[in-house]
Formats: sequence, C-alpha cells, structure tokens
Amino acid sequence: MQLAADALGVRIDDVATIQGDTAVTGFGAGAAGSRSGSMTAGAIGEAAATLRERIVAIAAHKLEASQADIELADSRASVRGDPLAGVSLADIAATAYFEPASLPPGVPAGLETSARYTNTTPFVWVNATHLCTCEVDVVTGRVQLLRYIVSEDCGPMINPNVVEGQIAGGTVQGIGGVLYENLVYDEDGNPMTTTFVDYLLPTSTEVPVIEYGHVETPSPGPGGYKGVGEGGAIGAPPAVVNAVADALSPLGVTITRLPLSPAQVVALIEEAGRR
Amino acid sequence: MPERSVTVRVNGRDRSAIVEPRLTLADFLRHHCRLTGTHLGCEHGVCGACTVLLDGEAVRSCLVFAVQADAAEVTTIEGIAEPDGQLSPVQAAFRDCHGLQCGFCTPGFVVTLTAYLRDHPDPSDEEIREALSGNLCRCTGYQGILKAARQAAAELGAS
Amino acid sequence: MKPAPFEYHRPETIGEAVGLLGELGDAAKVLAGGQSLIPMLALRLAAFDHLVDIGRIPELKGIERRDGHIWIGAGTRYASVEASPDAAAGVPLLARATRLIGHFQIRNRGTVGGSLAHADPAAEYPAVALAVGASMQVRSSRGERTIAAADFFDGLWTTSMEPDELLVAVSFPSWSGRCGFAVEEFARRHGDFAVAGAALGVQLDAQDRVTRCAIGLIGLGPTPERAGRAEESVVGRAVGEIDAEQIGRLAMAGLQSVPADLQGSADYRKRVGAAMVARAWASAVTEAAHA
Repeated sequence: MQLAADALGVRIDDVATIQGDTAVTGFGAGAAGSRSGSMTAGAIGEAAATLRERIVAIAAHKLEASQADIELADSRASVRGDPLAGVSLADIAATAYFEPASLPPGVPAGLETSARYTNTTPFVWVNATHLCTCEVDVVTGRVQLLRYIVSEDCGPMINPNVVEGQIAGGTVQGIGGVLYENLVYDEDGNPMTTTFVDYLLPTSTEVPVIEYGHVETPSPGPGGYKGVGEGGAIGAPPAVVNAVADALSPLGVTITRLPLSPAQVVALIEEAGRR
Repeated sequence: MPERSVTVRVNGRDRSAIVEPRLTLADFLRHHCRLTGTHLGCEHGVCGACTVLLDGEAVRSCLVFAVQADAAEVTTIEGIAEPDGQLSPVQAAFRDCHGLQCGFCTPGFVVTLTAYLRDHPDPSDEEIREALSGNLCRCTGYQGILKAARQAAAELGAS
Repeated sequence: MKPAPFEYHRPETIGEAVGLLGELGDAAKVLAGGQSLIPMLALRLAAFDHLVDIGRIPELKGIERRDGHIWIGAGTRYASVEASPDAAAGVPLLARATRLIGHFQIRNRGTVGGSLAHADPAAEYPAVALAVGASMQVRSSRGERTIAAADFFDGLWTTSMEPDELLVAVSFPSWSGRCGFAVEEFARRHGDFAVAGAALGVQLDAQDRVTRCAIGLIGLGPTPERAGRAEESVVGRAVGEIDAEQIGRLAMAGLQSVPADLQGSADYRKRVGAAMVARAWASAVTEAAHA
C-alpha cells in the first residue's frame, strides 16, 4: 500500500488492497524465501509506472501544462509553480472512464493495468547479525537471556514497524526452538507433546527486550528492497546456543543437541564433569 | 443429553439460547451470538485467545460452559470500544505500537490487559509481563505488545 | 476438542449437592472452577455422565479467621485468597503459593477445594495443606467428617474421599511466634506446573533455635510429600549451624517415587528439589530471624 501510494502520489487512505483471496486475485506462486518485498515492489513499480504515465498525460491535457511540470501528491495532480492549478485523481479517473473523447491522443480509456514482475537477479541477499548474552543457573539448568540485539540489513525499509515486528517474531520463534519447543515421540512413534501444556512456546516472561539496529544497503532489485522474513528465526538459534555454550565452556561443556531444556543443560554439565 | 436454556448478558444485551451443557461459553459467543472476535487457539485453556470478561473478571471462555454463565455478564472484544467506535486506550495503544500482526491472539490480549490495568493501574515492567504470560503470541515476539501495554498503562494512569 | 455429552446439575445448597452425589455415584463429577476438569473433558481424557456444578452454593465460599486457624470454603476462588489480608496474615504459605498458580485468568475461576480434591502433586495447595497440617471438611448424605491433610492425599490425582463426598471447607492452622515462610518452585515458564518445589515454614525461639519446621514437597511424588527427616534434623538446632544445602539433600533422601517425564529424570527432579528446599529454607529463616 505504501509503495502504491508513493508511486502514484496518492494518500494511503485512498489505497485498498486485496490479498489472500484466490477467487479474485491473480494466479501465482505466492510468497516464499522472503521474496514478497522485492517482488511486490517490482510488480507495483511496473504497474504504477504505466498508470502514472497516463495520469500525468491526462492531467497535463486538462491543465494545459507540460507533462514535465505535473506533480502528483495527496491524490491530486498539480502544476509546479502554480498552486491554484490542479485536478483530483478522482476527476482524472472520471474523465478516463466516462469522457474518453476528452482524453489526449494516444491515451487509452479507463485507468487500469496489471503487471507481473520477473526478477533480473537470481537472488537478493539479506543480512542479519544477532547478539545475545545469557546467564545459566548450573543447578537447575535454567537459561535466562539478558540482552538481545539484532542488526538487520533489509535494504531500504518500506515500513520500520513491520521490519522490527518481523525481526521480533522470528527471533522469539528461534528462542523457542532452542530453549522450549520440542516434539517428543515415544519408542513406538506415538506423539507425546500434543498440547500446549507439553509443547512449550515462549511467553512474555521468557523473552528479552530486543534492541534493533538497521543497516540499509540497497540490493540490485527494484527499489533496492530486500526481504526481512529470514533473519529472525535463522539468526536467533545460533546466537542463543552459542551464548549458552560460552557460559558453560568453563565447565567443559560442548553443545551438540537441542533443545536446551533445563534438564538437558544439567545433563550436559554432568556429562562434562564425568569426562 | 437434556439441553438447558441460558441467558447471558453479552456486551450489554441479553442473549438467550437452548444449549447442550457441554457447549463452552466461547462457542456460545461465536455461534449463537455471532461474535467471532473471541478466538479459539487451543481449546484447552493455555493460549488465552478466547479471553473474555465474565462478571468483570478475565477468564478463558473455553474453560467455562455456557450454562455456567447463565444470568452472568460477559464482555467480549466487540464490547471494548466505545459505542461510537472510538478505540479504548488499550486498543489504540496496540494500533500505535504495532502490537499485532496477524491479529489472532489480539482480542485475548486486549481483554486481558483491559482487566489487568483496570485493577492494577501502575504496574512495573515485570508485573506487566507476568500479567500477559497467560496469552500466547507467535507473530510479535511480544515486543510490540509490551510497548502497547506500557503506553496504555501510562495513559490510563495519567487520566 | 469438545467434551463428551453430559447432564448438568446446579444445586443451590450443599445438601442438594451431596444428595445428587449420593444418587449418581461414580457417574457424577463435581464441577467447581473447571480449570483442571474442563481441559480434561475437552481432550477427552475423562468423561462423566453427570456434572454437578457447585459454583453457586453460597455456603461454600468465604475466608474467615477462626480460633487459631483460617477457614476457607471449598468454593472460594484463588483470586479471593490472593486478595485476602486474613489469608496473608493467617497462613502466609497460602498467600505466597497462590500467586504462583497459573495465570490470573486461571485464578479468577479455580477454587481452593478444586485444587485439593484434584490432588495434583505438582500443584501448590496440596503441598501447603500438608505442610501446615490442614483439615478437610467433607460431607455426604451420610454425614460430615474431617480428614487430616496427612490422610487426604492417597495417590496420583486420588484423595481418600468417597465418590459421594463433597469437600466443603478447609481449615489451615495459623502459626504463632517468630515464623518465616517461603514457597520456592522451579517451572519451565511463569505459571507452569512446578517441576519441583517446596512450601516451607520455620519457627524459631528467642535464641534462634528451630522450634518447628514443616516442609511440603511439590512435584516429587505421586502425592505431595512431607520431608520428615529434614524437618526432624533441624528442630532444636541453632539456625546459624544449619547448612541450607544439606537440608535440601536430606529432604530428597528417601523419596521413593520421584516422577520422570518430559521435564526430566527423577535424578534431575531431586537435584532441583534439593535446591528449592535450600532456597526456601534460607528465605524462611531470614524472615523468622527478623520476626
């Protein structure tokens, strides 16, 4: 929505989006590998460019100005340097749909288009660094995360709230995978952890405050945008495991298995003690 | 199994139905009252997505039978905003602080926090975390939720 | 995830309730707060033809200071205990244990009687009841009797109540003198069932010698346990001479059926249990010494 609003100079409130309804949306392969940011930017970019050309042409024609002087902002077309000269996008659209005879030559009727984005670079690489400090109670085996910092490079951030939300959610899922979550089966293959009483997700009391740093290195892709879905859940487990390993290294502990439940931490300590 | 008549005052309106005793309050709200804001995340009392106020107290509606709520007052997420649609301070804080992503856990968090801040107007960070520890979220990592809770506490405390 | 069908009864008096239990026998189950029962019904781990909802019987609710003890109606919610100054002053172990129970939404519904009758060894109240020597008032259509906590917990999720008996109230004795109390438990996350824990009370004389000690163990057997040997080992001794770690280890010695499960082996539980007893001891003794 932001990308469309930016590309066409319209207010966010004037942008409506339909997602996830395959009855009405186009056919495609969906989101995978955090490609949504780059792919959506590309598709919107192409579609918006087509419409922008037509909008500017129609506006220039109506305002008797040159196309180079037309500016689009706040869902309106105006003439640079002439604050009184302007026409709303709604009026431009009305002209395009209902008065095609008034359109400038070469501009088709209607104001709709569709575009598909095909990437020109095989991959758009994203980077993240996770830093974690922890304290381990060697009697009970409990791990407490103290400080947690993520520095993420997803290129220019389309929406910082969404970026940080994505990092936070992924990071806590990674923490869950290391310290709490475990699908257990008995010797006959029966699942043992079939409720949330046994399969433990982190709650608000188990998560550290996550501090964020952002680096914005543009990618070769459209807008320079990169995906932000990978860094959180992928960066967190090694950060947490390595923090615990660092804490326990004076005891000769090597960590080769997850999860690091308190009982497992104690087992590792006892094992190291016997060696 | 003999059905029973129940009347529950939901968001200020009496709602009656003939129900099986095993019908949970959550299902009564969702199916009989068509108030689907109360969500079912686990149906065994852990995730908190089904939290409603029962006679003013935050409870897991999947752990209450509708027949137990006969003649009681229930407030669901649909009853949190003002009648004219103005968001409550807790709801506004969730919006302002990006305290939700998919929104599935959100009604439970909003109702829980609404009840908690009403009874504990000046909580510490630790107390807020404990109060919210009975609600699970997978999307936000709780960061936005905790910020929203602090903002709501500050605003409600100031007024 | 929906319970099997059942018939629902909502008696308005204790008499009606026990009448129903007498009539229906094993086919009936008492419904109090439902925070343990309803998940079991929803997961179909249990099913009953009849549920007897005691949630609206006024005589089952209340917290009262009586001569030397705190009387609590079995239908009293955890939240009421948490908010009660009488409970906090009269039975500090109860107040301190209450805030460890689940989450506040659970405490708004769960009841004292429900916790004790459900008899989960990993729950807090059974260990507290055992530690302070509570008495359970139990009624049936045949009459009323009192069961001491030491005789109440029979086995895993099993009490010595008959199927037609209803727990109506619990009396928790109050301690006097220079006392200290602590509940220490280890759980995976805030509000989870304890992996192992201790509810401990200690009383000192004017010379800081131990005159009384009670240690209720959480999660270390099929029922709550008293760490009798550890208790006896401290009585008569000066507090300064007692090593907390040693008390913890002693409390674990002789435990026969320590659970092993997803949370850890029996040895792990004992390791944690010993630490919880030690921490509870240190905390309670500090409180008593300042009393």
